[in-house]
Amino acid sequence: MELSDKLAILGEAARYDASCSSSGSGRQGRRGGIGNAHMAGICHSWAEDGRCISLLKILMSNACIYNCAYCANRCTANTPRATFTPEEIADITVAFYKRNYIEGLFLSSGVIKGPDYTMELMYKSLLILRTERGFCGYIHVKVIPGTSPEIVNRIGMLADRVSVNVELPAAERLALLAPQKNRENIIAPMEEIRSLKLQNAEERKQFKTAPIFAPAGQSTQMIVGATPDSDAKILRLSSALYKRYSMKRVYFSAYVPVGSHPTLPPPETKAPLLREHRLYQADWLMRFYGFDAEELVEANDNLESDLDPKCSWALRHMDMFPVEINTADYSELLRVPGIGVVSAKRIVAARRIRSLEHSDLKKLGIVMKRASAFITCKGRFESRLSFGSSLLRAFLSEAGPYDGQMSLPEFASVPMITEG
Amino acid sequence: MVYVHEDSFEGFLSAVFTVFEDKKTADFTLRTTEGVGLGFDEERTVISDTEHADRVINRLRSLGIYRRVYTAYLYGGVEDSILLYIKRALSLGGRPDQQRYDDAVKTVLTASERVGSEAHRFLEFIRFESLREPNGGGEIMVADIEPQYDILHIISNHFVKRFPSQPLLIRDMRRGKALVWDCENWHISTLPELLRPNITSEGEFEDMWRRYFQCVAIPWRRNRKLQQQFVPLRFRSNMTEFKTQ
Ligand code: SF4
Repeated sequence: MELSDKLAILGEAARYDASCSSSGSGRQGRRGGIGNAHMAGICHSWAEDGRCISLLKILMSNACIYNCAYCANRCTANTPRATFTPEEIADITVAFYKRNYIEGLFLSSGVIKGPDYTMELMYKSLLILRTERGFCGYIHVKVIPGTSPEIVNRIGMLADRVSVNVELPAAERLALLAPQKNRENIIAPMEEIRSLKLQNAEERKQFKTAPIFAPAGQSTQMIVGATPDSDAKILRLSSALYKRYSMKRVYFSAYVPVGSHPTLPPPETKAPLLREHRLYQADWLMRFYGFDAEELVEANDNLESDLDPKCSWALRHMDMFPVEINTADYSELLRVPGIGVVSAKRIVAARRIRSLEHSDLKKLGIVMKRASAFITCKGRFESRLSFGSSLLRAFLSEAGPYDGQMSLPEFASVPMITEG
Repeated sequence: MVYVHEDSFEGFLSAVFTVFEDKKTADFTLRTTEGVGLGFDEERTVISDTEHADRVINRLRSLGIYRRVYTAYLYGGVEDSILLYIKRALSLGGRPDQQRYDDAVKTVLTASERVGSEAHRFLEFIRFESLREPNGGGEIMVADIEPQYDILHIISNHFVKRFPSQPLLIRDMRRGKALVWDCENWHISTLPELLRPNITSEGEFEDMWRRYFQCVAIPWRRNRKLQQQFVPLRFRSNMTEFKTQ
């Protein structure tokens, strides 16, 4: 089989993994080598589905011996199979990297003979890249449940991020749909990564030059919509994963009906894109806005679909508004619809110099359309929507078909080259 | 008083130097020698002076605003605001960026952010093609770009650090300039001396990348509008994955 055909098969096979981040590592380049890691990460392209391409995301092999019902590569599926050699992976990664197509490699795999056998091949690919090719770009490796800790350790010493997928929010469902996996052998490598990282941090206190174990930490992913789990359950689990394993990210992947199993959604089911989007918004609110999983769902099982979770929370807590821009805490400002992390910081900095008027806020990047019903400036309330009116809800809700865009400008990241 | 300076960063800095030397606090504007004066005001022509420019640069560095000023300058047409911005920085003894509600500060910050985000786009979108020197010479990676602002300087550090052992040539086709990196030094030179055959975008890895690019898109999530928001059309003519063979 031609290398190009393999890449087509193994690129397509890897595309349902949502993680694309190349951030969190400051790996330096070196003379004679190629590449380095950019702390904030860099996206290099966007595919036709609007998802970013930052890493060469491939499987080592899709000739999998497991039979996870929700997976297009399960052994009983009728799909073309291919397996890379470690050299081929190194060749493509370096060739793509030096053309500036990618920030590095995201390597996952189906199970070839067993987890250890497969992970050894992945380790070998990394070893060739890091030593023979002098590659210092970003590498993210997905660990197969059941891999020996010793191999996980060796991989972590070469990779920037190591991760294990939770797959399904509920452990019982996993046992049902992925008979060769179980929650324990998924959690075990997460625990290992966590403790290896702590151990490594101790070592580095004594030997400053010791290599860093997975500098960009670990992340995970779960499939949304394959099982009947509620948003509340998913967010509680995410929050526990962030706390317990210091996860850098929890990714959600809207389930496309590729599998067949009596308990899976039927083939004509649409993937729950809007739901995935709301979960990501909730996830942002937990990571950067000081929200707790419980606050976002409260008594409900699921997030509201026609309101972003922050507006939804605000409308349930009208007693906490309006907040006064000139005196509210940073944490209170963050909870105002239309105020993001950047604009909240700007408010706090600017009001130290002089108190702010409504007319200043737009310049500071506040989305007044959303914020005005929730704030006062020097005690003045300027929204035309009277506070607490039912019109407000209609005004804030997002009508129309979901088009996949992050609809809150306050969530947009600001790409900037930092001052220096 | 109108200060007329040469249309270059050095010319602009020389004018900044002169304004401060004249202790001008109000009633002045800047314009380049290319610009057209209205003839109402008294004019003073500033001769570019490297030493004056360097002194201004050092002062800006000590205030922590050099990069800000440089990127805002590249935006073009906001020189008067930059001067006011520098004055504020001087009286504060540091960056005035928190005063975003001030028009001059806001103008400078916006200009600098636009240039910064354009530069960032090119960290993402530059596509190198491998060119072999004839007669068994070494490999050089070449990229063509057509940036809205003159960002070659700003992106040089990123690429030079990333490819310590790989010679690079990044050609700004719009301005006829190029960034050249020979693994020892980098400099920016004019294009004519560097004219080379057009990049063809043919090759094994170029084809593989285009194929990969098609394969990773999930068909039922197709969303060209969103894709276009992230990769505006104007960048695509120089990007391998959007070039049709
Ligand atoms: S292990 Fe399960 S999820 Fe992974 S490739 Fe094999 S069948 Fe798919």
